[in-house]
Amino acid sequence: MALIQITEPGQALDPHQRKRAAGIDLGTTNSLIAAVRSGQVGVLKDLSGVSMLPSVVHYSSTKVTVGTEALSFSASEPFNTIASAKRLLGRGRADLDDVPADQRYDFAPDDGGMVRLQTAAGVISPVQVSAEILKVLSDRGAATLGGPLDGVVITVPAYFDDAQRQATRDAAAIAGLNVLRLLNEPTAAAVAYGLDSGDEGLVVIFDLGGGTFDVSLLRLSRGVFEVLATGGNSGLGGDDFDALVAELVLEKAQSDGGLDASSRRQLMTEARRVKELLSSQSQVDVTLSLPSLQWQGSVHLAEFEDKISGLVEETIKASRRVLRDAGVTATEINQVVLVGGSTRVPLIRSAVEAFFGRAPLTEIDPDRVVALGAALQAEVLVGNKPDDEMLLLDVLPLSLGLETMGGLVEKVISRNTPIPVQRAQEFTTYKDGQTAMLIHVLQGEREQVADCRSLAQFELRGIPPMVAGAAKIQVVFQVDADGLLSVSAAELGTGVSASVTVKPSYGLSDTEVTDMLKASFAYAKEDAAARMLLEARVDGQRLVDALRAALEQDGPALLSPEATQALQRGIQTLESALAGDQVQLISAETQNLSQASDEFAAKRMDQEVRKALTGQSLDGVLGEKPITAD
Amino acid sequence: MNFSQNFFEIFQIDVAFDLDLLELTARYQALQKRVHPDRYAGQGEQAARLATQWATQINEAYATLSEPLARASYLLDLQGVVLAQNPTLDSAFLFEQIELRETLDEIRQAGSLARAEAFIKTLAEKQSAEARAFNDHFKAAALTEATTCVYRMQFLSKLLLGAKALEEELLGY
Repeated sequence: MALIQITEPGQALDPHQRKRAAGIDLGTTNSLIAAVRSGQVGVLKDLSGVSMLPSVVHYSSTKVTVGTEALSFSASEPFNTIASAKRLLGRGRADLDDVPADQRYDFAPDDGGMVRLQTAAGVISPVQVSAEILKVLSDRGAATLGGPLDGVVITVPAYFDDAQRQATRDAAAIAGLNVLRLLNEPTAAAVAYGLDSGDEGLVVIFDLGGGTFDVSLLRLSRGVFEVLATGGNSGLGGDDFDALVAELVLEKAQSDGGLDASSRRQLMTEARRVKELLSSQSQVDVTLSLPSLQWQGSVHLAEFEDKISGLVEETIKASRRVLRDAGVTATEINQVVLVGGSTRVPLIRSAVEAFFGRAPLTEIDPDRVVALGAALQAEVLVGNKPDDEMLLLDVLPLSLGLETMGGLVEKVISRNTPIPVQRAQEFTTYKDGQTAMLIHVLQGEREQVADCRSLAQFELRGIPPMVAGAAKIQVVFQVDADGLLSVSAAELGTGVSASVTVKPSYGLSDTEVTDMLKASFAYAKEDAAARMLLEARVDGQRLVDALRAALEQDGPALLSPEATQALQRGIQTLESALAGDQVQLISAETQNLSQASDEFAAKRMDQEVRKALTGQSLDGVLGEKPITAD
Repeated sequence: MNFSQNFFEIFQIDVAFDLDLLELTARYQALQKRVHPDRYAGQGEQAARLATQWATQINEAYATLSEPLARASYLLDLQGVVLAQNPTLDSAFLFEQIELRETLDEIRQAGSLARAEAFIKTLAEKQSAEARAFNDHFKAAALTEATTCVYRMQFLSKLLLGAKALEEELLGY
């Protein structure tokens, strides 16, 4: 609710204004937090000096534990110990057919929405699991940086759909984090590499993590990181390699695989160990002594590579498709960057090198590169580096469409469209006097509704009654810079705006998020009222500071003396509210001042746009390949 | 926000079909650096909304001007030409379209990736030829002829989409 704050290049920032910002890599297997301290970017460690936080949460009836401590319950209490929750975010039961119900998770009865898990602490959403992980990292950030975080950048796989992004946002809200941006993991990796070298040209980021695979093509020029195309598979990662090693071991042990959940977990842990060792040796000895399976033997690299060759081929196929989408050939690529622990697998490295015809960059630890890039971006977004000209331009990873007659999907915004983007679509009524309409939004590339992801059902109400076909209802789809979709609708003829009720297919309603927020307070024994007051004050103070700076900078040029005085009076009113402790009054006054300064903010933005193209020499900075040529 | 600016005005470039795409991209990036929501992150709803509106408008302008058919249609729109939903085109062109469609069907039947790729190349060349013709007519203010070129480009563009979808299918995506 603050006025836009525009800092001119060269203008120094007061040291006391330095904000605490961090980048968070919320991974499938491990999570990390990184920050810039004394000009150096680095990952933050916990009290025992460990930076990696296993993305595992254990629930008991009285306590929630996160990380290594939670991991220790993995074998003894598999259903109370939730691992790889990232795979479940924004997913329905039917999306998770590759995870057998009797293994790994104890799913709560399917209600058609996002999956939920039965634990000793009751039914838990994967969003809450992720929120617990974020909270631990946020506390670590606050302890290391000397106070609560002002803002964070959280990374998501580029291939995450709207439901998965929204679920990540919700988890951050429950953890009480101010999210500056959801950043795509490959873009974060490019930032980590690109800023040091100042490279120009086409860069491929090949990111194979614990549970997701992304491949993205970026163009770097003049400090702009532009995603040209992205692809991958949000359900393919190192976990699948582990499962294949486990399968291999079971085959060799001639077991039918009928293991209980606890044995299954132990087998998976062993499989991961074998996989990791096979990155540096050609054979690993295995000793299994599970209640129903005793086996001793060894696994050879060649067997492992044979087993995973199908998955490796899939990653190369996705790479080929991304290049094709962007109209680029492999020889035009200037750099290939490997991200994610699973890119340590030698077969992956050699396949990537063979396909792109060049050795990939691996200087930055593939497990940390995403968090480091996110931290660099957070530092810029929070306002600590006003001179920085870096800009990240992202695209929509998957097409957005609407259900039409016969269960078909009509695309409204196609994949790889730069975001933010807005598209309008017109509809009409098919019955006389029809006053409501149901709109089904889907995401995906296929033609059939059944093959795409259902995002939400929008119910339009309050359409003025007319004869069939006379109403012109315009539905507007807006995708913001985080890749999140919002929808609005209006009847064009009468100007009546139809109200939109959103039923997210695999997301949480606002009420559910609020409830989870309350529940998390109860757990943490944190004072909800105190936190709300703090947040309201931060919002209000931010507006006061920004507006004051803006008035000083542009007030005389853009506003009449009367308008300036009116805004100054508004600042005083808000400041006296801020001195008190009435949350509602602070929020109301913040809202009032925000509205009063709306026009001023718009004028300043227009001025920015005019400035962008004046006094700037665009000659001599050109030279790379254009986006299209005819 | 000044939405009455046309897309050429946003980038402050001349209204023309044959524009310098490198220059356009440079201007696009310079504008986005100023208005992208990232520049106003954590500054509240008002700033985010304004920045998003501007960044959206600049993306739309860039998408329109950087793609030949969209650019040609937009130029006609600025001249007040309303494009017909079902335009009448000369029979020679329509016959050629039918033949091209039949070729595409044959390639689909044969399942030949190499032929699909060659076909896409042929269509792209035809499309470029129409774009050049549009440019000449538009410069000469021959709007009727320029409009016909846009209709032809629409036909070719639809075929091209179909051919690319087939190529994807044959590639197994």
